[in-house]
Amino acid sequence: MKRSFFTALSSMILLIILSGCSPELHERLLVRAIGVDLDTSGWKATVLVYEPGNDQKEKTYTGYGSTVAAALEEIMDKTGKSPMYSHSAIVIFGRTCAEQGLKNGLDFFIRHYDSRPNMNVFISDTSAEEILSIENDASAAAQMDLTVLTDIERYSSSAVSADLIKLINGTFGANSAAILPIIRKSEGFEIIGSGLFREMKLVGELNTETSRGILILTGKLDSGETLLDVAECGKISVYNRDCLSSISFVGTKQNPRFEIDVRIEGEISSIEHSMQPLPSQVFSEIEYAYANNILKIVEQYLRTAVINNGTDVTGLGYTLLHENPELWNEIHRTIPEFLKKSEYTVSVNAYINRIEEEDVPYY
Amino acid sequence: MKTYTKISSLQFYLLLFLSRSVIVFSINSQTVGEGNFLDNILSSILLMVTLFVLVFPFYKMRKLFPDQSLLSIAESTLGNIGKAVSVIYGIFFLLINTISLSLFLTLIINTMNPSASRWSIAAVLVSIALFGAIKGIETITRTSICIFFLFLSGFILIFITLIPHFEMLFSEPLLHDGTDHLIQGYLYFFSHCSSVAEIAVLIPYVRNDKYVHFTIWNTCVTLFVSALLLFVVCVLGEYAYLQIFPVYTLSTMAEIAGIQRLDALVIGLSMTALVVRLSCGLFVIGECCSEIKKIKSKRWVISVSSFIIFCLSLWITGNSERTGFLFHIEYILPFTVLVSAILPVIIMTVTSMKRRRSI
Repeated sequence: MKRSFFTALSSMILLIILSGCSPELHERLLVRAIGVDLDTSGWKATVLVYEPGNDQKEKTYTGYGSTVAAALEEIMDKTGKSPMYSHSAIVIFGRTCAEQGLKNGLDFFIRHYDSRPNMNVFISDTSAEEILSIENDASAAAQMDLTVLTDIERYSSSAVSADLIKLINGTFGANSAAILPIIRKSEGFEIIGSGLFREMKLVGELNTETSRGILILTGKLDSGETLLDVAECGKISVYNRDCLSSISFVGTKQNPRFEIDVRIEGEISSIEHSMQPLPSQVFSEIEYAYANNILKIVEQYLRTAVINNGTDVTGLGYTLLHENPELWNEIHRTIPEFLKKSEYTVSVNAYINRIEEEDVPYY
Repeated sequence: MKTYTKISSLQFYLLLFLSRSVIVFSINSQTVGEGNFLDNILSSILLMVTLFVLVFPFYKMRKLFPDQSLLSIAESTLGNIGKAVSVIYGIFFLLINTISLSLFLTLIINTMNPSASRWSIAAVLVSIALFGAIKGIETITRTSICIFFLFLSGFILIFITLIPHFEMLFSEPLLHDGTDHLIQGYLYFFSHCSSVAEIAVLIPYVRNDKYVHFTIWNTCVTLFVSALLLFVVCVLGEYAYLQIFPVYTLSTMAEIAGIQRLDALVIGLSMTALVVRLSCGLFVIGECCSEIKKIKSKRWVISVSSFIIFCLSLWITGNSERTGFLFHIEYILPFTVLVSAILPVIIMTVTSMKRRRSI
């Protein structure tokens, strides 16, 4: 009797909780990307949505409001559908918004229950609406590739990817700044550099070459090609295979100095003048040129971002916090000035893997 | 003398593992101090040491009174005052179960779906817990074994998938901002720890229990909590301090191949672990009442208690001001200190004094 009762009760419970979900799929807007702009009238939200239905096309909707949440609410009012943000992998902020500060625009994405902490964040070279707008079929096709940009750092060495977590850690953590990739729409989408943010305001920009310095200093340069000019061989393209870096603080409060060691490993992808296997002494010349190239990029990053701007995203502040907490306690409120006056000693060791020697055919 | 259905030491400690682990889902920067979560690893180690000290006398007492719980000993030693001890333990478990269920409802409403039906979730959880409590300790512990392995494998999977996001850079030096966070975290962990009280009431059910088993359990729970806190800090960094439930947020980061957002897994694991905690708590309430009135059927007491827990948790989570109190420890800490430290010490002291006199 008891068993029957509990079986019946369990069946009833299962019937209720496994009966399907609400609202129905056609009542929802599956948001793929969100754009946020700021103008004189307030916040403008643009969403790229996938609408389940017969045409199965992507559409964009725009809403206005005094807050980001209110602007998104207006889209809901226009469409009569309930938005689903949990599938949204990208949020793009317009340039004006970045210059005036992301703080108020960002809060929604940190607080909202449906938002993902690993949502990728970009800055538009112009406005976020322009990036997400669909003018014609070609543009619509290009939008399909938008989410590919979330993996840009993995496949290319031209940009540093950033998500909400990195942005928050750059702003509130021991680093003196956060970084966001800058995106431009032409035929497709293009990363044209990185924006440096201090207290969530855009304070500087790095081109793609200098952005690579961040990947080197954080030990993440493990993709993309580096072009070298070596006297005997002409132009050599080296694929960046692996990178390790260590930063240490060796100075004092009065004479702050950081020592940076980089070890980079690459493989030869192509050589301009020779299809013959290379004699081993040429490898040392290529390695020397490779190391010089990497050193130049690191120095360029340190000069542009750290010394001129006092902004760092590579962990100089964290190094100080870990290695000299007492000094960190003293200077952490003035870390940009401290980084500006610090000295930086960089040493680079580059290695070329010899695997190509066996692969190149004889003619 | 009362006869006890015996369970193995392994079953008992797996049950306690789940019961104690549930609390880590509710930690946040407000509850354990707005500082460095890594300091709370030290808090959990401090709690481990405290539990070693608090539980050690139980094992000594067990040699003298092999088949008696602390409540039975209190009743036989202190008479009617001893019955009051059972009432206090019963109220404590009523309160701690209400808090646990309320925290879970808050987690669901704040992080998954604000329009989720609180009453239906609470009703399902309380019904399952009630069923387990009515069936008895053996049913609860057998269930615990299954859930424990799901729980463990689920978290191992989550930890593995989070390794690519692990940044040691985010960790701050321990005690960098002083010892305040360490103490606050310790008080939070201690106030929500019902393990000492559970051991006090349930120890006669355990067959061949030894202090070394307790030691292994205590160490393993501490390691689990420490690993979880380390992942929270090194994956989320400063973002963790902006979240109400950082452990849940951590799970949203987990992904393996095409499977993303393992938060649903964490919700499932925490829900099942909560059922075990509620069930165990209800069973203990039944035990407390049987010590008071020698009630033959505890079912009504357990059923009424589960209804009270259901109503109270809905009442608490129905209002944001009351929900906010869930993250405070002022009202629960004195109770935990009373049932985990003061009462056991008094009972054991009086019992050993009486025993010495009688010898």
